Amino acid sequence: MSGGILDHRFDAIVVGAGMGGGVLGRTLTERGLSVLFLEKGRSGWRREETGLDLTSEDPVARLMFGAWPDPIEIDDGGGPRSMYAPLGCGVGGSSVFFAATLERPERHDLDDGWPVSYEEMGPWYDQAERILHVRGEPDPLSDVPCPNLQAAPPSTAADAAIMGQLRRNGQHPYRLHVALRYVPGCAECLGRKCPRTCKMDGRSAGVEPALATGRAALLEECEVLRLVGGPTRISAVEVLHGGEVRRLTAPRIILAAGALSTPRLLIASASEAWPQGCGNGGDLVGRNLMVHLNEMFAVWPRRGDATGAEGPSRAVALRDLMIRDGHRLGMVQSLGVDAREPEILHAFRQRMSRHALGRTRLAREWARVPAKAASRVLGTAKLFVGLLEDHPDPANRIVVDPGRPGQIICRYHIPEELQARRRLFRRGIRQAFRNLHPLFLNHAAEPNWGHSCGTARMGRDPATSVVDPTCRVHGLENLWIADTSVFPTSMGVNPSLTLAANALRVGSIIAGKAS
Amino acid sequence: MTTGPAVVTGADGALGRAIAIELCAMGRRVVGLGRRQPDLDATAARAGELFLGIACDIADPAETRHAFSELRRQVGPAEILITSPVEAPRRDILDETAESFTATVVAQLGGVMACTHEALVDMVERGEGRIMHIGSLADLDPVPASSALAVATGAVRIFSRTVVADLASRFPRIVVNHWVPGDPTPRIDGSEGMDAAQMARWGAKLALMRDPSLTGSLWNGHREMVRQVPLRRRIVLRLLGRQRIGRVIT
Repeated sequence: MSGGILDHRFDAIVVGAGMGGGVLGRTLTERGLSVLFLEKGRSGWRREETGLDLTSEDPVARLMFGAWPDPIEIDDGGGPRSMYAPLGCGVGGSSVFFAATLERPERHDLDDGWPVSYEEMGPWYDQAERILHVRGEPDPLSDVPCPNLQAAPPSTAADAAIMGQLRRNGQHPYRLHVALRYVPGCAECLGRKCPRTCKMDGRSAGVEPALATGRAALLEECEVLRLVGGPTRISAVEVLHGGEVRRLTAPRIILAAGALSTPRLLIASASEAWPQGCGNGGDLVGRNLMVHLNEMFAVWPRRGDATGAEGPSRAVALRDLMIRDGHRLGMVQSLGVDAREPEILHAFRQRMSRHALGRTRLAREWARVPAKAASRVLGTAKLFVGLLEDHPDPANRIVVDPGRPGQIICRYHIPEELQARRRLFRRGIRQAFRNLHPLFLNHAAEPNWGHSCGTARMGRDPATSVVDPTCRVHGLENLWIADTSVFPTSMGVNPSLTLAANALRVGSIIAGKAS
Repeated sequence: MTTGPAVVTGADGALGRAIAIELCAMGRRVVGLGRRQPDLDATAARAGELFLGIACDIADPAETRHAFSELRRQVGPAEILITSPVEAPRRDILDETAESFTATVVAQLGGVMACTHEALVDMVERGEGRIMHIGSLADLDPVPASSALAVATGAVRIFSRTVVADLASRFPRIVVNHWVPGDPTPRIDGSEGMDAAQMARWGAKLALMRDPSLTGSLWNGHREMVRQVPLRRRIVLRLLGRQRIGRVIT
């Protein structure tokens, strides 16, 4: 089978079969081009319901379960430390595990800093909302029509109670935009693989429809090592597949390996033609790494308003805190999980682990007692998260260790400016959620590595950007990037809808040039 | 729930036969696998029309594959798989040969593996199913002259755990557990006494239970065996009212 794939000539190679690569590949095949997806992970079985495993440290098991096999290394100035990021590795990438939140950014999110205006992106957002079956309510603070937004199913009593209280607090909550089709038997697979074609992600709305056209093929367990080429063109993609290093060629190459890996591949492609790495003449590849900072908190609707028996609050969104006193903050949304004893326990343990004594096994066991007490007294809490926008900083970056080119290494520090905005954001959240007893579950800044972006930024000027407004790498005629690496700003909303809309846009540009 | 058959291996032996009869009496379609056609016929005679016997030596992977494709064709893919222990001769280790030992292990462990794998082919397509491996605790304190069988049945219990390790997080609705009939060590000698019938009822009931929390559980007779936890942890769990109490089949 794979021998056949490797002998076939494709119009385009897409590196990475996640949300960006999947949606872009689908667009190309629907416009008549043939596409080869290269995926480091496996496709797995369609009926899997795996959650994203952050605890297993066995790389073989992690790959089998669709998680990125290795820990990522992060140096915030205090020396490198390793952690497992919420990254998928398999068909659909991280998106098969995502909570299906697909939110539009605000007009100013793009118009301040992106080379593509909100106006230009509008039709692509519309199209993305259509193919991803997005459901929810229009944001009451926005004047942008969303013609393809479908109605959400009725609110749970808990959601209705929380939204009612927020309105009484003068806020403007609405039903979060989620990519769930609610087919019969829908179990709302937020945070885990969906066994039906119900949650719309890079697999169900990207790779699968692309394969269904008959013009696409998928090479799984295929690790891209580097790009090969001359000053103006990529001639081949060097891959490791089945224990063999080989070169695959196509007239068009699209990188969609994610903001942590795309720059790594570009830098690891350093050669005589590209001494600092492919597309890296301006030393910008890997720089301006951004994440969102998660401000996690629990709220307790008044007893009687919501019993909690009918499941977690999953669909409340709030954009009243996008900009405060001229500072960019971000949106607030429910996480779709209840804070029962284990979550509260985790929060207690996190707080305790800041002290040496709290890290002992005995202390960890005894933390169960206050956690139990808290959940008894307060009942079932609903978990929320505020997504705080991060600003580009050239010092925050992906670096490559030539001895370990496959290792994701981030240098990422949180500047005082961001800490100040955190304080403002948390104050705003406390105020907006008053009478709902908001309790913050993280004290230290918590970067959301699932929302990383910015490491191959888009711009008109090759001196300050890696790709042009069509997401083609400056100076290279056949290399495009279609993941969140190209985001010039991190925006105050979840990245997936913009990622998909941009992939549709770039796919249509590539297909248009081809015909 | 779908209406595929329950596949019972060793349906030509006492325990497999008793469970097949029990399941048929509960209205389930049962496919019985076994080497001896006359004994399968005897099971069929007592189990009734819902029983289909397919002669098959599960120690032979090709025969097993053929039997499963046959049952898929005739009554649909397996919804439940129950594997029984094989009957093996008691033999002094000094009388065993490497060949005779390996043959027993292959017949037991290899047979369970082959059937489980065939059943899983269909179950992962549907995302649901039920697998119960029947074993013994003979490996914990082996009686003399039981080396091959004790090793093989102990290995089947390990095999159950490895299946759970591979599948539980991906397919929570494929429920896999291990059942040891009787306590402390079963002596199912083919006589149809009250005990064998009671055990078969428990086994059949357990095999029909579909709660995902059963996955990875070990049952002895009608009781769930709960893993021992360290004393300190046990005290904390007791204080919190969260100690695990084994379930019971009534």
